[in-house]
Amino acid sequence: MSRVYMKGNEAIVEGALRAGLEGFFGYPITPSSEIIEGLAERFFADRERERRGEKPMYPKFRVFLQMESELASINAVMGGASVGCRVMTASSSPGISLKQEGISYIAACELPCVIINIMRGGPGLGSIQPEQGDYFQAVKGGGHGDYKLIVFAPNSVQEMAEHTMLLFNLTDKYRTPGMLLADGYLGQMKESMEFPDVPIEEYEKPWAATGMGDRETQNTIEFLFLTPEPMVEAKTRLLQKYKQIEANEVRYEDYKIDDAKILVTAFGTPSRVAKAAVDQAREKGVKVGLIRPITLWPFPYQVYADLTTHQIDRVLVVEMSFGQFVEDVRLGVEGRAEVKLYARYGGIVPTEKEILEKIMELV
Amino acid sequence: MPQRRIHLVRTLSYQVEILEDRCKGCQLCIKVCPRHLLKLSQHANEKGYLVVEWQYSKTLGCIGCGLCYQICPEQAIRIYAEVER
Amino acid sequence: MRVSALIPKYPEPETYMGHTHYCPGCGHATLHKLLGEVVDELGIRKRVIMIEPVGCSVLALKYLKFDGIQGPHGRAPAIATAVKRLRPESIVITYQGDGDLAAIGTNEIIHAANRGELFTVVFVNNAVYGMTGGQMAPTTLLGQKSTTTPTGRFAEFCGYPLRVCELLNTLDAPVYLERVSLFDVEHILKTRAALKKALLNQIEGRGFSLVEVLSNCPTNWKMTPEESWEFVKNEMTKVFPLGVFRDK
Repeated sequence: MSRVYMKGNEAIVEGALRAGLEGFFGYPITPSSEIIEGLAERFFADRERERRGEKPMYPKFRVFLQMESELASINAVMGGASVGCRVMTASSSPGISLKQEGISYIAACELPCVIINIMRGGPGLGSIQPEQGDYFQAVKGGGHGDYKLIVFAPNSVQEMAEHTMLLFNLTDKYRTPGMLLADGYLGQMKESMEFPDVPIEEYEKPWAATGMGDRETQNTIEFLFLTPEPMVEAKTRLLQKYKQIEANEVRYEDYKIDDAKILVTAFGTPSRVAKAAVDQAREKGVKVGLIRPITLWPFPYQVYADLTTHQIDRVLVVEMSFGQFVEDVRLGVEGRAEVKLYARYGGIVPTEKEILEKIMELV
Repeated sequence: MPQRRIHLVRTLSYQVEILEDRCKGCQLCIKVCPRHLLKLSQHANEKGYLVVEWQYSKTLGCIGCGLCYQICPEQAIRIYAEVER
Repeated sequence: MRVSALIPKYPEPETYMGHTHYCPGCGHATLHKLLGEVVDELGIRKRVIMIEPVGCSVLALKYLKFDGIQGPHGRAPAIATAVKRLRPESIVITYQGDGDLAAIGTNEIIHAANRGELFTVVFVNNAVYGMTGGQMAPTTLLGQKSTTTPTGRFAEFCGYPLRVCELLNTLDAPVYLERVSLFDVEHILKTRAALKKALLNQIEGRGFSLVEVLSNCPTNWKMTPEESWEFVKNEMTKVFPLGVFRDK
């Protein structure tokens, strides 16, 4: 596989197409607009090829629509997922807020789909600079009711593609929606990368509402109960699914952790800067290591618990918000170690020097 | 659908059946019947609705117009043509 | 020996399962029956995917035997857009009430109609929010009482009744827009014809069709079924004139 030089948002487009994307429904918003633009370009190029009698490059990619709002987009995604197609939408923070009701319905109806959030400054219209302020919304559930999203947090252009492809397989496998949580920095930056080989996993979808045909029973995509008992039963099934995902799909990266006394932890863009700071601190003889969660849900609580039980007594959390991810770290640590937060918000990405200083303060 | 041969006999008479478990006593059919053959009965179905009943009458017989069938929201009415074989 | 047989005048319904939860005399049940009859007649039951709204007809799929999706309030047109484009061979129908389509979902219906989406909309306008107990709808008449217009709807506070067919008639894409009603057998049969025409438009892939059905709500209007249909016939048709707004 040859290396390519690509923008983060572009990598998502290519990743989705390689994962067999069939329908995309979106709405423009900085800093994620290159995703809808990239898909439009490829979709209409294929239509031109067909007009010239040539074969399309992405034969599976049959439906592209810029909808009237992000809200309409997530509902179109619900429609596409309900009939068993691989569908995706992409937006940034305010747009993702508009999608929350739809996401709750999609999770309730156990529909697989991929939702891309290229986070920007918030709350409100905020800014188009990168931030990580949508963490709670993504992992604790921004919509109503008990539900979870599989949430991946890439920290490189390579992972923007890889996680998109992984999400399509995982969401089909577990019949649940998934989100890629990146930030404007990752979306806009360019890096050389190599497309990983993530084969498309085919899953039967007998539950899809494709028209009864000769089926005797109706397939209805709905989550509505008039009495508690059937709802308890249905929600218990959801809970068991989430437990299964928590047991099997936790992913994180550890770096120079074996003899570490101090733990630095961050996800997304800050985690790369933190890695560099860890190297510099190591050169100064500090026993420091890094944990970088890749799945924000299911969250790797266990690794924090184990490390702070056996070897770590101080934890430095680096985050680009008031401090949301830090709370889950604290849940993992459960008081076994001191947890310090270094938060940079407003769109400023913490520098190696700053993180190094914070590490040295803990020594 | 089996091919039905209907023998046209001079005086075709009809019978109307009310599916009592579906009827809700909304009485729209009573109002629409040109021969006034439907009326609200005094007995209730399982859901507690007083159901409509059809009176068979030789003189003012049902003409099978189907207006009751068309207006019934619950499709609780069946109309049968009595045909001699 | 003279033997007489009883031949059913109408075929047994395949699609419409009846036993609805609707109030006695409610137009929803009648409309479900008509939709079932037309789907049976056109022989398309096996291909239908229906999008249910939030409202009294949220349980429509318990009475109409086809596949379907229960969508968030007002979002059926967005859902149907994706369903039809990704499964073009299916027959996609959205069944929506006035709160669903003309209040929260106005944006979705306008843009789906404007894109000329190839699905069919069955829009029930009974000028009230039935399921939630009788609140005002965008189509509630001026002066009409509801639990949120206790002294009657005043334009000063709540604006005017919203005419959907006329609104969508300003768009280029729709091919068929008609407003019908169910207040007597004649109009029931007209509604049946309109549903058939709308579904034929989809079968032939001709374009976006919407049938607006003026309906009743005996319970929340506090009327008998018969009185409610009188109200539809005499009052509602003044504000919502029946007829074909577009048929191209």
